Amino acid sequence: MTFILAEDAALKTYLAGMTVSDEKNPSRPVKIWFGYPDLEVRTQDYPFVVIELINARPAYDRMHSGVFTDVDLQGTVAPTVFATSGTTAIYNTYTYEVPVPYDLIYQLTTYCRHPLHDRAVMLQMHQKFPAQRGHLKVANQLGTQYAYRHMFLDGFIKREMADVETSGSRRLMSNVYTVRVLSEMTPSVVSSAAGAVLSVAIDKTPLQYPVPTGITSV
Amino acid sequence: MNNFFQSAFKEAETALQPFFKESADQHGWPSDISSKMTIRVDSAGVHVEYEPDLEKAIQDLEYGDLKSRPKAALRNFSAESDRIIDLIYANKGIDHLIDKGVFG
Repeated sequence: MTFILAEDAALKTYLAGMTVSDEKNPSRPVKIWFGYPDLEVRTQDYPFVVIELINARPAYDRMHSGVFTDVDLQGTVAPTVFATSGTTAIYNTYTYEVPVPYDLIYQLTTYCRHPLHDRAVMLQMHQKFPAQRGHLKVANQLGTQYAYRHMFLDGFIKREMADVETSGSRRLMSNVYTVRVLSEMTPSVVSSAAGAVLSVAIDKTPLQYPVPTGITSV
Repeated sequence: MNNFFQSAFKEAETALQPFFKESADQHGWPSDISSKMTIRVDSAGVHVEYEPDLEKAIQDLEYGDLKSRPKAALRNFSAESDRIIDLIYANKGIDHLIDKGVFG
């Protein structure tokens, strides 16, 4: 996965595994959603956490530009030159543009109906986001390597509301965490994301493989 | 010197008020709420002020509620206002030094 999608997935993974306990279930899982779930789902699934990306802004204060050229075959992105010089050594040279830094701002909102659930979720969330420091393990596109990105808790606010839709006016306890994840986007990601589909190849001879028994060709 | 700071705060308020309104509009805040919010700047920083009875409506907009997702105008404004105010103070300071003849 690439920029933003990778951080989304990493954040969901990071939040996964929280549980709360009560008289009916000693280990009730706290579900994680991207965006507020539908009414039918949330009626049964308290407590839960909602992840929302509220801003993705270029971090101008950390930005610099240019091209990295790497000749020692370390820290590479993609080979662009394969050079030979007579009988002398052959070098692979890798060049790539300096990534553009971004701040991804997430709002993580916890929703609980039971005060004890609320406290239990708060405890676990505060352990995961201990104020002004932290890191998020983000996988690369192939899932073969990881980067640890800085992560900051920029704000916390406690709220309370009435869930009129699902339970009359029953209390709903909510905690809002504003979390900033530092990220970066390589210009090549922009290029690939902006690519247009110029042609579509259609296989006109789909029967080159035998149709399995029981399946009718259309 | 006190006059210098008061003047700088006033200038910052004048610049930040329309910027806040723009940020609120961009995030989809209703104008009848954002127009009742004012920016005040003092030595402690930038403050967004409003009547207490607007508190819940503003929080519901900023952090979302059960029916709508968050429209983080205030947090976006907070992040951007720091950058803007730094520029204003820097320009104001340089103007002040020029007026005082520091650069000859």
